Parts: sequence; structure tokens; C-alpha cells
Amino acid sequence: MASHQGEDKPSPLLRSTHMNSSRTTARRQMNPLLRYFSLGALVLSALVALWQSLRVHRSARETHPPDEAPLPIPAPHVSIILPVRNEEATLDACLARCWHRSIQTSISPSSTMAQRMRPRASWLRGAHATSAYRCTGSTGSPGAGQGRRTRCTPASREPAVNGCCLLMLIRATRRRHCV
Amino acid sequence: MTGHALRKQDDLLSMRTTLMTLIGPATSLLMPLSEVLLAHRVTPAEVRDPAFPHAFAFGQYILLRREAYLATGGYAAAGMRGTPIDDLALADLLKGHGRRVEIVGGRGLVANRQWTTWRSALQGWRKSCYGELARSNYPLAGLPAAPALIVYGLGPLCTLLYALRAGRVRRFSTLLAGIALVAQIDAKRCIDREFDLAIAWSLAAPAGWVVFGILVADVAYGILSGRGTEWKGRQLLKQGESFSD
Repeated sequence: MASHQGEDKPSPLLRSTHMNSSRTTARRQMNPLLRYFSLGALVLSALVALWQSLRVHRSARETHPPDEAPLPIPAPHVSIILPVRNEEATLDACLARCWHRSIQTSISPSSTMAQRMRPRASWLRGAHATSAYRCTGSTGSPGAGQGRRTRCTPASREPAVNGCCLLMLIRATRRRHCV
Repeated sequence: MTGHALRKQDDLLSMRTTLMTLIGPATSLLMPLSEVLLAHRVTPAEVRDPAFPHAFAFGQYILLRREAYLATGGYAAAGMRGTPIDDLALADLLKGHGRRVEIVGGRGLVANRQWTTWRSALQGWRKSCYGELARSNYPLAGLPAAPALIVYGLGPLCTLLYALRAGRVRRFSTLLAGIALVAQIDAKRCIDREFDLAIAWSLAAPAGWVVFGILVADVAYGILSGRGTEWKGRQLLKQGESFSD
């Protein structure tokens, strides 16, 4: 009976050896899968990283500063739009602090000075209850020795924007040079 | 800029600005990576190319021809009001109407303070990420993208460290991990140089991808659970829907 029991039920040592061997077999079967998966992931990572690097360098090469093209006379009107929402409390202070332009003080191109712009602004209640801040500014052609003029007028509802160009800026952009 | 736009007959001219927000570890780590992802999407020459379907604009500075803005509908066009990434959508809108779009480098001309706190930066990235996924045809793309980004960041680094520790340097996997790691660092270095960041930030590129993966996972969870994302006290709930107050 004892021998029969022993044949039916393997000893704990035998059982453990059997389990260990099945685990090892499973690990052996898993290992190639894991290895191929990790190798595949590495191949993909390397390809993506190389492509990424190429694209970034290409993007950097293709980014050029704007041309120093002269403006036609009379200069075009530019309407400045700040697409913001619920910023009534901070927008005026931000514009007053940040908005500068360089102006030509005499006929000499080198004699420029930074002038703080004081744009007048208006809040319009647009569709979908969105507040819109619009301010139009224009640059007149300089007369002899007079320098450039800046005229800022509050926008009216009709027409909403009357410049031939629209300049959109986010709230805290700091301009250092003339448009 | 206006002179340039008139000369090139641009309908939309946007400018890459000098960012003034690279304070603290989060922005220095992640901001250049967002530029790397932008380069994935489109390059300045592709933006100019009328045959290329995608466009891009930096919201900090967009100069538009009024006639083009009104003809295409501008912010009144369908899908424009609801999108949280309006700069990108506006550029796509104009290009979709066959208008000329251009991006120029304005670093040194215009400085921009985009994010001032870690919290606002996190909200901004979440919003942009959410907006991009919501605009795409595959809003659940974030689910596979998140672990892929984490594996992309950790995989090559861990493989290389393991190989160095175990002394298994002469292996194909080690070579691949090395290539991936160097290329990741090189891509970030290219942007970091423009931001005047130290080389340590470029070496941390893998960590940046991991953080970015976690961010994408969070956004994907937001899409799946329907809780959306928050932006300046407003909740963007689902695709194509306006902000709710």
C-alpha cells in the first residue's frame, strides 16, 4: 500500500523538482518572447530617436528670422487682437507694462528710442458671451524729422477689425521691436 | 514682420518666440520636448509647402491678412471656438483654404512668459495634449501612447545601464540602446541650445519622456473617464465641445 501510495503521489521533493523544471521550461519559453519584444522595442526606439533627431535638426535649419523688408508708404494698418478670456483685471496692466515699440526720433535711422505704448482698449461682448479685447493702432508715415506716429483708437463694434493685417498675441507677450 | 509678410504674400505669419519661463526643473525638462514633438508634426518648410496638409502657428504671435481671416471664417469657423488649441487650428484652417502660412524664428525679437508656475505649466500641457488628442480622429490614442513614451524613455537607458553593470557591452541590444539614447539627447540638446539650457538638461531627456508619458496617461484617463481636463477654471469635457464655465 505504501509503495502504491508512493507511486500515486510523488514525494514532496520529486514534486518540487518537477515544478522547478516546469518553471524553467516556462521561463525558457518566455525568454525568447521577452528577448524579441525588448529587442523590437529597442529597434523601434532607436529608429524613432534617430528620426526625431533628424527632424529637430531640420526644423532648426529651416527656421529663419524674418526679412528686414521695408514697409510700403503709407504703412498698412494693423489691428491687434488678444484672444483672451476673463482677463479684464490683468490685461490693461499687462499691456501698460509690457507693450513697447521703438520709434524713430529723427530722420537718422540709428536714432531710435523705446516708447511705452498706451493703447486705448475696449471690451466687446461677443457671441457665446465671450469678452473680446480689441485695440487698433496705426503707424503713419514719418514726415521729415517728425518721426513715426502712433495712433491708437478704441475699436468699435462695426467694423470689429479695420486694419488690413491682424496681429494676435497672447496676454504676456513682450515685444521688443517694431511690427 | 509686416514688411516680411507683405513681401512673401503670407496670409498667416507666425513667430517662434524667446520663452522666458524656463525656471525650475519641470519646464526645463518638458518645454524643449514639446518643441521636439512639434518637429515630429511639421517643420517650417512643410508649413510653407502648399502640398503638405498640416500647418502650425505659435499662439504667442500670429500676424494675419485680414481678408484671409474673414474669408476663412477665423474664430467664427466651425470647430474653432470649441478647440483649446486655437493657434494650431487657425493655421490648419487657413492652410485648408489654400492660404499661405509661414513660421519664422523670432527669438531675440519677442520674449514670451508662457507659464509662470509649475501648476499653470501642467495645466497648459494637459490642455494642449487633450486638445491635440480630441482634435485627432483617435482620441484614445493616448492609451497606447502613454506606455510607449514611458518605454521609449526608460527602455534604452535601463538596457544600457544593465549592460554596463553585467559587462555585456558587445551586444546588439546595447548598440541599439546607445543609439537611441544618444539620439534622444541630441534632439533635446538641439532645442536646449536655443533656450540656453545647460547640458545636464539634455542628458535628462529620457526622464522627460517618462514624465511626458505619465502626463499623456493622465490625459487619456481624463478622456476615458469623461472628466475631461481643466483650463483656467473651465472644464473641457468632450471632443468638439466648448468650454463650460
